[in-house]
Amino acid sequence: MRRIRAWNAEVRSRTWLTAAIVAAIGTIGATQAHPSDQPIVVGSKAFTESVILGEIVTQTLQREGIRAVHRRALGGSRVLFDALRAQEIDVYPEYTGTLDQELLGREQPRNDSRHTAPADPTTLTGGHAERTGAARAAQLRRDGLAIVARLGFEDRYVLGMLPERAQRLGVRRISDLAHTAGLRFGFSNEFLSRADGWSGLERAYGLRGESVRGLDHELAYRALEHGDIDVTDLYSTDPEIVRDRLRVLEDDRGFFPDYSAILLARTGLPADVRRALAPLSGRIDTQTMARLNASVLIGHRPESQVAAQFVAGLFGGAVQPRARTWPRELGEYTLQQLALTCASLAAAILIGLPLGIVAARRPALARLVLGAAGVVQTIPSLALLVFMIPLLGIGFAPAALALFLYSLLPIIRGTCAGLGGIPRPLIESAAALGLSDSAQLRLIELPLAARSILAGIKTAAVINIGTATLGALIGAGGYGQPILTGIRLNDVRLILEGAVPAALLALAVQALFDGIERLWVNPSTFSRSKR
Amino acid sequence: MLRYEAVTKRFGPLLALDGITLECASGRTTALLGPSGCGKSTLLRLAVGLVQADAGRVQVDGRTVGGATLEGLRRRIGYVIQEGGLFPHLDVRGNVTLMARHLGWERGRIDDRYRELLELVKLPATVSPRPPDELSGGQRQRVSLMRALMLDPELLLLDEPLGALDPMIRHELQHDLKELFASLNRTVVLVTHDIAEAGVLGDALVLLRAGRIEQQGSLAELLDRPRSAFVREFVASQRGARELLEEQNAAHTRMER
Repeated sequence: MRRIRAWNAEVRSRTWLTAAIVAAIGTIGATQAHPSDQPIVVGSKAFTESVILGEIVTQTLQREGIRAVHRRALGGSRVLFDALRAQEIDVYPEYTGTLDQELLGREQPRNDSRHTAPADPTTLTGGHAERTGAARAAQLRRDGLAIVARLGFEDRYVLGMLPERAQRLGVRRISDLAHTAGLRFGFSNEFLSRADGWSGLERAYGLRGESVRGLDHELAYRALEHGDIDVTDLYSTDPEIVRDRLRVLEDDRGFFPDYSAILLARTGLPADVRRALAPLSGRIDTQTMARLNASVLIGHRPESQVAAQFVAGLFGGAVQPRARTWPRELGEYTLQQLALTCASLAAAILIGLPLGIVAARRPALARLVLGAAGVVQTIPSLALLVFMIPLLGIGFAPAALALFLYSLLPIIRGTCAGLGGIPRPLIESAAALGLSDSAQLRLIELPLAARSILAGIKTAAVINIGTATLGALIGAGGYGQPILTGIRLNDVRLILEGAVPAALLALAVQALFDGIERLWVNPSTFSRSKR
Repeated sequence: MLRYEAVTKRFGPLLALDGITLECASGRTTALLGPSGCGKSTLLRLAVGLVQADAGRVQVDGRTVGGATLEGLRRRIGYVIQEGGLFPHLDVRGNVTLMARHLGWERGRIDDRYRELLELVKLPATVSPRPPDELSGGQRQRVSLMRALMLDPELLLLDEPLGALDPMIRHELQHDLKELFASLNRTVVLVTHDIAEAGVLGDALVLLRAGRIEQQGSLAELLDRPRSAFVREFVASQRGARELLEEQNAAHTRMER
């Protein structure tokens, strides 16, 4: 349900994302068997509840002696769903409503009675779920997927109000909103854009949205408290509902679809893994989930610890959260970040430099190469990362490839401009000496273009480090990991834990290149050269 | 030594050289003279293969310029341009010894030749580690000459070597060049628009106009027996040529006595 919440902030261009997703679906290849010696890979979406659930699943498997790793906070629903189909991950927490509404790509057949008759919502929803359940299972099977556990809680949309305000207006149910004038609605942008969000709700209940505005979900609570808005959309397991004692309005016409939490897995999951996960069925109810969310979001405890405590309570035994110390984590992020940047930058230099040299010699080719690299540059980084998933899956490879593509243009342009900017008399003097083409390039042209080439590489490196933080969205790790977690948890300290080293690394790289420039390009001979 | 046979060269609509036939004698200095755009620089550029003739042929030492042998041929030619064309990323020594190092000369041989050249162009050894932009204009041209002479070429081509210098330095370098040409005993072709300079340095003068040879001969011939109104005007427009001739004649007479 909250699938895009965290990275919504990153997505400025929804169009691009949509295009990327369409391409992703279109190009997903045939599935292949998961090698048995590989650990079970658990995925989770980029929001707290999903990460906690992913952590619970991982630790439950590990308790049974099954090797399991958690690729946490990979991204939105589509990223996880595609990664599962591509066998990049083995299992992840999902919601039935998301499957039906978005992932399986079909319209929810709407029973008219649900819109008009204020009947008993439980029987209706239940009957409805039963019907779509069989169809859903069949459709999942065709994709090689199956629901392996229903966790026991629902994380559905609800509407919430401050208790005093609701009391004063006499609002208890959503249908009460229809005959209350002067209400100010504030909804998350996702809720506003979804068919099962505001547009459907408005029609189902005959609401008159006199004042409706979009705002970030995290801000909605503050806006409620401030009295800026009266009604907002919430998720039923939001810990703030309990903390702020919000009035949850009864969905008396059963409009919101069922969003039961499930574990979605590949059908080829080994039997011992399925057995190990079975005990999780029905063991997490809405209060439990809200409590777990609260521990992380309000209590500021790490997801792994909260999950460990839950798993220990469920199965008995000691709490055994893995000790993850700050310096060790920082070291890990640094290595991941450096690996990403070094690999992609090295490849970009190896490819970009020769391309720039060739382009400098052939103006027609230069236009083509620079044009193509320029187009790549205009693709928003997030969209480019998502493009990579169907080709290379998730993790290091797609992130490195995307960074490589981003690094190409500055390097090619720097090389091309540097070589093209050498004064003609110098080129002719070199040729007249009797140097061969390659010797002329090596001894004269490249050294003279060095400043421009280095500037291109430096630009590429700095862009690279900045963009590499987004690699965390597709599981490549790096400094983006604490940044994304920090955004998700609204934890400034965590954001800084990623942002500060990333900035320092960018500065260090800048200093490194300045140093190289001083050594390689003699400034006294070049900068003051009159030509 | 350097021969042009019916050489024609066009740059777009511009006819730069119009069927030039010319022979620059071995061991002597030929000065190519004429107003801007007359094609004199193009003649030099043809000789080092920086441009190719549209018709006719250019021969150095009996071999046609161009093709697979061009690199080898260029190493037997020294080429100096107006502002020297020194590489800004190399110091004086680096510029001068570039080709020798590239060709794998032994260090001792490079050192010997380098010292010899410093003496020849009258530069102190202290300039060696300096980058070109820390040199004066005159020093830059001397270094450029060193670089051109490093491999001891048979043919030395100079394209307006003194064109960018102020009068004092110009006069001094002119004098040194004359000495140098005399001691080298190599074929030298010099491009200039200054008839006095051509008179001082050149054994033979070739006056060009719009891609054709207007007149060739000694300074005295150009002054005393101009073959056309253009020659007369070109000579008359430049001060100093007549005085130079008289000076030369006087020196000649003194020697005769």
